[in-house]
Amino acid sequence: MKKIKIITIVLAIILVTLVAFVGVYMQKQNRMENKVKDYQLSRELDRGRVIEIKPVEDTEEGKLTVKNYQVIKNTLEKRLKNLGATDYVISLNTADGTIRIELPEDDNTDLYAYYITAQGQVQIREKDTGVELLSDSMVKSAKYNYIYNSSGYQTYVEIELTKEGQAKIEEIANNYAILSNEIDEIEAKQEEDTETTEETTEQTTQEATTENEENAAQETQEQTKKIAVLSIGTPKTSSDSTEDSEETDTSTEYDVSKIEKNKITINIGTTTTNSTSVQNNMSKASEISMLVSSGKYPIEYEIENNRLEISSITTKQIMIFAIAILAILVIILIAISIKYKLQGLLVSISFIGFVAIFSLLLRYANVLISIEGIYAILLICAINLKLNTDILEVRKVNMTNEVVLNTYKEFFIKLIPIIIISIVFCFASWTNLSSFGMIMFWGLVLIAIYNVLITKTLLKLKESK
Amino acid sequence: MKQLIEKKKKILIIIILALIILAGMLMTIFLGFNKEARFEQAKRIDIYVEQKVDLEKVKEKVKEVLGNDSIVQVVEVYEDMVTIRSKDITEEQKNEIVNKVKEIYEFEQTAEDTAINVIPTTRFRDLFKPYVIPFIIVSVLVIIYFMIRYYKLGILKVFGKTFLAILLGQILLFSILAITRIPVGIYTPVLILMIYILVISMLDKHFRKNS
Repeated sequence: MKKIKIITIVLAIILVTLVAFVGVYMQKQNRMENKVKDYQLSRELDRGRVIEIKPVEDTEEGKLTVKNYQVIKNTLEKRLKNLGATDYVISLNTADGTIRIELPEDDNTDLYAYYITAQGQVQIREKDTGVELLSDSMVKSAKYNYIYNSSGYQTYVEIELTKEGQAKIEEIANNYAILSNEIDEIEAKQEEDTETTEETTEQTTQEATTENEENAAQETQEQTKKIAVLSIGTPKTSSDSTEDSEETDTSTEYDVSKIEKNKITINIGTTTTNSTSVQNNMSKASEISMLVSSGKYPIEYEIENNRLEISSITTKQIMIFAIAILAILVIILIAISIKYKLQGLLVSISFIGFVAIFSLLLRYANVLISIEGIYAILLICAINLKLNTDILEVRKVNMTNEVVLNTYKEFFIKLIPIIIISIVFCFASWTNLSSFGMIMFWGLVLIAIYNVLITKTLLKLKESK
Repeated sequence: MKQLIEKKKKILIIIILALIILAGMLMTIFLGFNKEARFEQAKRIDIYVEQKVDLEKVKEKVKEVLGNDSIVQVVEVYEDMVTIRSKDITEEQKNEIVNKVKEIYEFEQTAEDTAINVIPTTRFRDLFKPYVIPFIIVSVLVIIYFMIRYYKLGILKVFGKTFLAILLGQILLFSILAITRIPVGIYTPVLILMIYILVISMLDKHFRKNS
């Protein structure tokens, strides 16, 4: 019976090993397809996007300075961080300002590519003349949120101004209509006036319009404040309000709902209960906050190159490395089998099963494998091997269950510093470190469970045979 | 007598370590680290081959012209373009590479059409910045753990030993990298992790033995 149990476990290990290293092939559209999930590789091992940006051609010579290039590089880094990019390399060519960004190729890469050159300049200007009233340099940061009222959710962005900006916005608020309700009132009044004027023109023969009424209308017009609008994007400046520059104006105007000391609140979209609209408004608001808070580009940049680069580390090289490691492991396992005889052989078989399950676990837990991750895999294999040899050594002297359990306990106590390192790195925002942490974490969990369930059972069955 | 030999051994080890660190510092000051080619300022040429590229074949051809000091990568989704980067690519080398690739593939792009682009250098601080905070957090937690677990050895002593060992381990690694001119690049974080884990494990063993 015990023999059958051992054979069953060994066969199960062989099956798992075959699934992990050979795969499960099924026919799909006249070809065989492996149904076992593939590994997720990091940028250095798989493929990455390389984006090169450079200053736009008509940039003033005086602005093309190393200091400005450096500001842009830092801003770019902040943007990528705010967008949640977890793996990137940025390099700057100080001679011509070209910035090269290497990113991993995934669902977010195009989004990052868009925000790399996007402008988030805040500007308040006079609506009719386009004269700039408050410039982007007076803006400090921005944050977004939403409020719920009886008609639904209203998303908003709160723009914080500098001291200079605070003085300026007070001046604007006194002399201009900037709040959305003020503008609505003025526009309604203007519409009304236009209608009255039209009516007056139509009834040219009627001379019933009194002189007093004309004067009153004139007075109202004088009292009417000029309208100021807030825009975000790449705004046109008063100096380039030509027809050509209008084409490059990619800014969007937003309704200002509140001005409070050094804060301007702008509404994003309208109040709505539609979840899709709320989500869209929130993502627009987060985009604005990110662009405003991450800093400004003193020079406008454009994308020169945006392409996919496949890693210089080829599959062949990875395979050679894997085979070399496998060969070393086989030698070690043969040595263990010779030294500890049947017990050693069973532990070796169990170890192969461990490696197979570990490889499946990494694939199905969606763990990204980086170069640091490969080191973690090797470290986990080494730790498991050490635990197995420790158990074999202990069993040579004392076979009681308690002693074996104590060995497990002591072994894991020794591993506490490594467990700390693994858990902390699991939460690291940098892909390469989190890859190391995640692999270590899953590996240590598997070592704890697998050895108790499989290795220990196999050895126990062998003893009582 | 045995104690004296042990003491002498210790002093000798300290002297050797100090010499390695000193030499490493001097090398870093005067020569800097040997940066991996992919992070150095380099020149790049792109060749559009118009068909799926066999990287190994192209690598061989490039090696004939540039030697081992080059990186060849396949570019774009259809893998029909190669990018070759090296510390320096002269006009003659460029022409030679294009013509050599033409020996294995038929394509339109000529050597004259091929431009040499400059790839900026990547600074060390940009490469290793993301690792600093996680390593500081881990070190603080490990030090706290050791201080609690081995409080009998003296909290300050444990703190001092752990802090110094972690720091010296990394300084020693970078000194060796500077002296041996091993390229610093994508494999360096693995070495840092190796040394870090080795130092922590050795410290744990040392404290356990003495407690």
